[in-house]
Amino acid sequence: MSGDGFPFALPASRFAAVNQEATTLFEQLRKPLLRYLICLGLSADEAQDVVQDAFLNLHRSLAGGAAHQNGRAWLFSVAHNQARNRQKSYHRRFGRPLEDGVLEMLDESTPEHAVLKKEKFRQLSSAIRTLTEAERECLLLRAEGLRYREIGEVLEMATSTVADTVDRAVKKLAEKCNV
Amino acid sequence: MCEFEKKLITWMDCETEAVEALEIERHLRVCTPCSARAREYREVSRSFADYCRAIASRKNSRPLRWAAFSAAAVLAATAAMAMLMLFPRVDPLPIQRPAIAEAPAMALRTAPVNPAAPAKLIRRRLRAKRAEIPQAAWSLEPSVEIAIPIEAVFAPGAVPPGFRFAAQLSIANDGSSRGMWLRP
Repeated sequence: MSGDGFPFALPASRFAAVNQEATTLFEQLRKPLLRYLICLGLSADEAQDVVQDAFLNLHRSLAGGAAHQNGRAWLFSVAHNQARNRQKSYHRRFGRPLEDGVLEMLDESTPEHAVLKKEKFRQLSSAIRTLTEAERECLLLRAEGLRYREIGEVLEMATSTVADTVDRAVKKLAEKCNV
Repeated sequence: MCEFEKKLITWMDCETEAVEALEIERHLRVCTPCSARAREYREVSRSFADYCRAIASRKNSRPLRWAAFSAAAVLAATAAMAMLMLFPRVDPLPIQRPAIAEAPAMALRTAPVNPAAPAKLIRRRLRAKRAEIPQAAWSLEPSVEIAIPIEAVFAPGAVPPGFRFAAQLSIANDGSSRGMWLRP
């Protein structure tokens, strides 16, 4: 059996347990992962590819007997690194996500709501541009519900650094957006 | 600046110790600026999350839009093929050739009309122009005939039933159109 292949010699009960765990994580985390990758600047197709790869790696790792204490942080970490590699290989800038095109697709119930939301998003968009890469990534991961410790694992930072970065980023946004 | 303001975001994210969280909550009940700040931070965090969701849904909806467009195109092509197979050929309508010898063809096209000139004078000029045109230029048999149903030209009900028009198109040797006129 090659190193990349699935260990088909797993006992049936173990295989079922691995499948169950991977499926649960897939159902919970597929959408947040996609959102995070798209907001990092990947196209929808690339994000789908990266998510599939990440879950495939998870399945292999679980089937290989590895135990992940925090599957969510592990998956986000794998996806984040893959996204970084892809963006490096395509010679694109990593720090240019969250573009303005979103303003065109706002579909609010009333024109007043649409105008207000558009204005809010415009302010937010220009405020996001003032954030550093680390601040933006911390906020994106926080928006997907990751704890500071998990964000630290994904971005390879200390938890206290994550807390400071998030604090600084939120204050910057609040200041620029005049909420 | 209040000393609790530094801890508001970590408290909002449930990242503070339980004892400290209780302390902050107690403080927020009495400190209006801090509670306003907390509201502000919560609002901006919610807006950021909404913004991310909007971006993700926009990027994800693009392939769907293309898929819908492609599906519509395939359906249209299939429908067209089915129509062609069901109704293979439609014979052209019989064309009533108009008596084109009497048509005031070139005169209408060439005579410039001065709006200030009296109607009588204009009529005289038109007649003179018509006389100048050699008969052969417009009484030749048309080489190409096109039948256009009257319903396609005028609005429904605009033309009384049984009323017909014939159109004559004069084409020069180089293929350009020289004039077109309608006759009842």
